[in-house]
Amino acid sequence: MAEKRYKKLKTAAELQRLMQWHYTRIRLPRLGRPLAWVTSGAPVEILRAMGVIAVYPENYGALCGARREAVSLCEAAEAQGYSPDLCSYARTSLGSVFQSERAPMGGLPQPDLLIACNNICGTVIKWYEAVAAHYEVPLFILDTPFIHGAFEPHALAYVVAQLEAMIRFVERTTGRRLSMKRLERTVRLANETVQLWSEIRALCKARPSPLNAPDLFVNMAPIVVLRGTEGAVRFYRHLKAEVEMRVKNGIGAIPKEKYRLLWDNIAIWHHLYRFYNYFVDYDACFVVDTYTGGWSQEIPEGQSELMEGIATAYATVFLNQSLEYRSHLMERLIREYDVDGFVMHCNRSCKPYSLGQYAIRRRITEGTGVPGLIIESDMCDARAFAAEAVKTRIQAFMETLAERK
Amino acid sequence: MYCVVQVREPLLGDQIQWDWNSLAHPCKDWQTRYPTKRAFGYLCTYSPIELLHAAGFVPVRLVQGSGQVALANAHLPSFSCALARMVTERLLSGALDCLSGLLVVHTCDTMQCVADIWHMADPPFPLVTFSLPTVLSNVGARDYLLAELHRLAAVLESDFGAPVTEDALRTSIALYNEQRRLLATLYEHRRAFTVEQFWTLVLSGMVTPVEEHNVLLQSVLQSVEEKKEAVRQGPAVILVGAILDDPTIPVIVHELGGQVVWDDLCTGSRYFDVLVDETQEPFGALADRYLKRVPCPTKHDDANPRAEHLLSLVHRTGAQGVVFVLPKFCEPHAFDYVLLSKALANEGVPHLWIETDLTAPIGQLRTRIQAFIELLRGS
Ligand code: SF4
Ligand code: SF4
Repeated sequence: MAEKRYKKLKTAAELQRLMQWHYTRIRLPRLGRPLAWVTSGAPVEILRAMGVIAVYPENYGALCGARREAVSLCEAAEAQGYSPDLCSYARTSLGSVFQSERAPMGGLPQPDLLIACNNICGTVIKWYEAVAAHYEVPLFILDTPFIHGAFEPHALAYVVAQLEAMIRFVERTTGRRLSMKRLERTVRLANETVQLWSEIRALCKARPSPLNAPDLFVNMAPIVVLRGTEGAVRFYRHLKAEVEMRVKNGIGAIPKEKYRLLWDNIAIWHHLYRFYNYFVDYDACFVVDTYTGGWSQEIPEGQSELMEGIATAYATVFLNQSLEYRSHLMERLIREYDVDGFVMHCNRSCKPYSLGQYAIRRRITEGTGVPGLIIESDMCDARAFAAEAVKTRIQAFMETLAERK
Repeated sequence: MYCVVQVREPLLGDQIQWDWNSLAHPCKDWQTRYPTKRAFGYLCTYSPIELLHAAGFVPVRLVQGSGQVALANAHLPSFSCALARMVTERLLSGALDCLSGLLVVHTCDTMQCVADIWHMADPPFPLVTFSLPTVLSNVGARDYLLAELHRLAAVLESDFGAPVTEDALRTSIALYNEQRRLLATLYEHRRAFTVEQFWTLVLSGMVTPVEEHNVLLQSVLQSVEEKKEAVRQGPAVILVGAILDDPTIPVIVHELGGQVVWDDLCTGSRYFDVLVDETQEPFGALADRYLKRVPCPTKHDDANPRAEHLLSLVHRTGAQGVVFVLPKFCEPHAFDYVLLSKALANEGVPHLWIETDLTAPIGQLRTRIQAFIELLRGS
């Protein structure tokens, strides 16, 4: 088994239990608690504080992708007129809505309300509009203006006004009220989760790195789906302890770490282990990535207004910022993690993440001298993956890195 | 695109000389034609062109056009829309060097990315971005938009030395309102013109100074009264989509016995829908126009009036069918297509779906349009 080349984390079983519990719990009788579908970048703290259960179609899409069940769901969406060029999370999700009998776990439970935030992309707006039309449920869109330059004060005011509107919207649609006390508590828990996750990622600065990209991808699920819950905090404490032990004992994620790499973009879920094993064959470990760092924004507590803190944290996530910002961020990661090369997944599904990668690659290589490889594929739609061609390109890239060593 | 129909003879007597190539290549001859005027590029109908005009520029719209993509391949992956790839190509090849600046408004993910890509490619002119709200019906959207318009005016002053006075803005608003009214009138009298003449009149306005275009429209509309409007028969259709910068598809529709009676296109009716209120404070009036318009697919409106709007166009114009002309890899339009086509199907209105890219085979296009028109004839 290919997976054997990975040192399995002891916390893996706990992760599985936690996620299974999440997917079970959302199907239990909810005693009147409303259920919302939310995007990965939505301010879930507000929903949790109001007792609304949040489920994540993007995480569900990743799960279908990893189980290699996304393609048939994509086809179900395509049969309804959705273009095969659309984001495969959206197609997988819509496919599971239209043909739940084909979907793992029968799809997600029906939503009572929908919350989409466009800080990751414009796709989620259209996708959630389609879901809202299908289930005839209310949809709230939190609009976070894209930041080409600076996060302007009028943009902050706009996002704050919408957060307040979002609270009224949830109150109106669910009949629940927001208690500021509970919100503060949820924010604290969310911050703690985010902190732990950032610390775990930072531990990978060690040589050899205790984790490889697939570890990060698999273990990011709770930071997205259960951020702001005690279960997530507990899990990340355990994970952190284990990763610390690995660092202390000089245990690496892969048998022999010769090259340290950075990963950009969403995982190739349908080839998760197999794909990263192509690199393990060259003793290359992905010690850091940009995707799982997307949930590292803490909400400033105490100093300013809480709503301003939430607005700032969510409006300034890295996918909502310019390519220059992203280049700088990656250059910084390359230095901090002492990286030899970077690999960019040019993901057909995700235009905001992928269209600027050529510009970023040029900028980074100019700035750091570190070479980068761009591989075109798709995160969920395995039809867009050409294994042999990909392997050849990886081989050529690894040869370049070898020459530089 | 499909193929460029090149019309080099004078179209409307001596009133307009139009080379379709000049639409995609506004810089060609710019110096000779307008030695004293400065061109400012923009792409989308949500661009506040009145502000650019009031700052002393001629807003010039960048469209897709046709040609080879070579240089752009090192800047954009293959799954980018043709508009993004073609404009990138011209920008990199120096074909847009006459511009004094380029305004990119936040609409879709692709525009968001190309704004930064173009900026990082060091164009010979400054690039200005404008982050329009995505949900124009939101609480706070108007205040935000207003502040963003003032920020844009401040950038024009600081980075281009081109301040915008309130008086100048009022004048510009009046000129563009006039253009919008004239275009709306032209739409009502489209049968007085050939398809190519009609699209020439519409699209030339996006790359020539508005003053000039208004005079042209006034004079051709005057002669309309004297001209006899052709009585056209055959199934009537509405075109729906993003950008049509080439009359090939409407020409084919007409050649095959159909007629295009209206459209919901960024380069068509969406360019001139809704006037700016001239009695109001001008910045606020500009903001309000964006809030009042039927949104484009990149914008969200809780009431989602796009389907209703399309159905009302169908009823008002008596169209029998709808032709979607959608760019490949364009997410917002591809999503809306499903909702719109369902709404049409519910009302029993047939539609044809055409996906355009740089290499759409024209023969196949003809066959499909022909089959559709026959279907409409039979119904
Ligand atoms: S387009 Fe990208 S960011 Fe948006 S939902 Fe799809 S994968 Fe996520
Ligand atoms: S709306 Fe569509 S056609 Fe226009 S730039 Fe965006 S992706 Fe391209």
